[in-house]
Amino acid sequence: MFDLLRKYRPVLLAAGMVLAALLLYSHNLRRTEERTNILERLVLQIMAPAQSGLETVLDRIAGIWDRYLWLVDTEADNLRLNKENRRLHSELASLPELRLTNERLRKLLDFREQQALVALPAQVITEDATSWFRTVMIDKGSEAGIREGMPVVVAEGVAGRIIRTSPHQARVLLITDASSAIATLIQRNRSRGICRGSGTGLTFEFALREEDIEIGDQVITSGNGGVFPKGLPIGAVVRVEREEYGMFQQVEVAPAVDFSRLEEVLVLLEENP
Amino acid sequence: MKRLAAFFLLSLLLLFVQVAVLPRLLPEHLKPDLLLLVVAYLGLSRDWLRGGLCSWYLGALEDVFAGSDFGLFGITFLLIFLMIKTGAGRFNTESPLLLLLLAFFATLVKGMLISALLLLFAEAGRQWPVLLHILLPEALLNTLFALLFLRCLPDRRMERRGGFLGLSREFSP
Repeated sequence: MFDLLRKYRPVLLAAGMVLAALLLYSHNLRRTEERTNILERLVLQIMAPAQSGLETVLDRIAGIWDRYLWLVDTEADNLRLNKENRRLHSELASLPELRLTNERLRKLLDFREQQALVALPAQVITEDATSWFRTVMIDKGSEAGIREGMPVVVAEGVAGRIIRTSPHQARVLLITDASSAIATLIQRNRSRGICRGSGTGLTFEFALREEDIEIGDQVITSGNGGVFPKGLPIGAVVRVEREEYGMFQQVEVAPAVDFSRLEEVLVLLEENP
Repeated sequence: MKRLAAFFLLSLLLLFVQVAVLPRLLPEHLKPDLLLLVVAYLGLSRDWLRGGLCSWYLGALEDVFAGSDFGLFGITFLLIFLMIKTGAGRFNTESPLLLLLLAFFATLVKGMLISALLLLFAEAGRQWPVLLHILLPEALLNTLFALLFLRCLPDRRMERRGGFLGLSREFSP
């Protein structure tokens, strides 16, 4: 018996590990509450200071580079002009960024005031570790009142929902991820459908053939599904295809949010943290 | 114990570089998988139990920062390790090209495994068009990083341990 076990040890070990890994994955798929496990919390807590440290270091390097290093050559030409030039240039360089930040934050603030729910602003710190999924990490977590399932929005519309939380960070599943689905409707004619992510865009599914959907129609959240409040913008219809047969038409939607430039987001809290 | 601690630290460092540093340097949606390179290396150099557990752990680390369901990368990395381990005896471990080839094919296999697992378990069958779109560039990028990985290794180690990464000694009968 032991000889047999010894002979097939590698096979048994491999089979045991695969079975355990499959069971763990399957168990996590079926969990509906508290999906963030101990390992995830631990790793996120270890990585959080390093990530914020990196942000600070990069900001400092960028600051040193922008304000000093690239002006070293001109200093030899004229010290007085260079000093003034440096000051003016530094101010000028920071103005567009300040203006853009101001605009973004003002839009977010206006949007926040329109919402009935309490909105918590957060900063996007990292993207998904692979190029195959569409998730981002934000710099607020359960200590700020964030829970799994909460909607995440920006001024332009819906960004995603929280899928993992640790005390100081949370992960957001963007609406463009292939595993994301939102109950939506066409604003003009109230046709209902499900908006699913396709990596870069969205598809509006279960729209009946006879329903009148046109390019440019705005898609908004329907409020069904219990995650997103009703009426939040999702995007606009960019392609409609009706085949000769079949119950449904194929509708493509361009997201209202530019996910390549996602910097600040609002997490819609259910109650005051 | 020291080696185990060093492995954990190295894995966290690689994850940090992969998640926080490289996305700032590379074009959007082009992300190398440094942990996968470690799994390929483990498949050539470690035994079934230790290598398997380490690969599973590396996958779990990647799960923290990727995808939406915990465990997907864990099982994927474990299966990739087992595949490499099964064929390891047949590889020419003297050749430095081996890790490059493994990095390329491991990325392709990873894409296929993730698609299959998502289709079977998670009802996210729409993921495969996204995967197909990025699979080849990512495989090439991982091969490039495997080359950098090889360049970073000191030459003395190869000479001392006999063969590429000391693999020929470990696999010699």
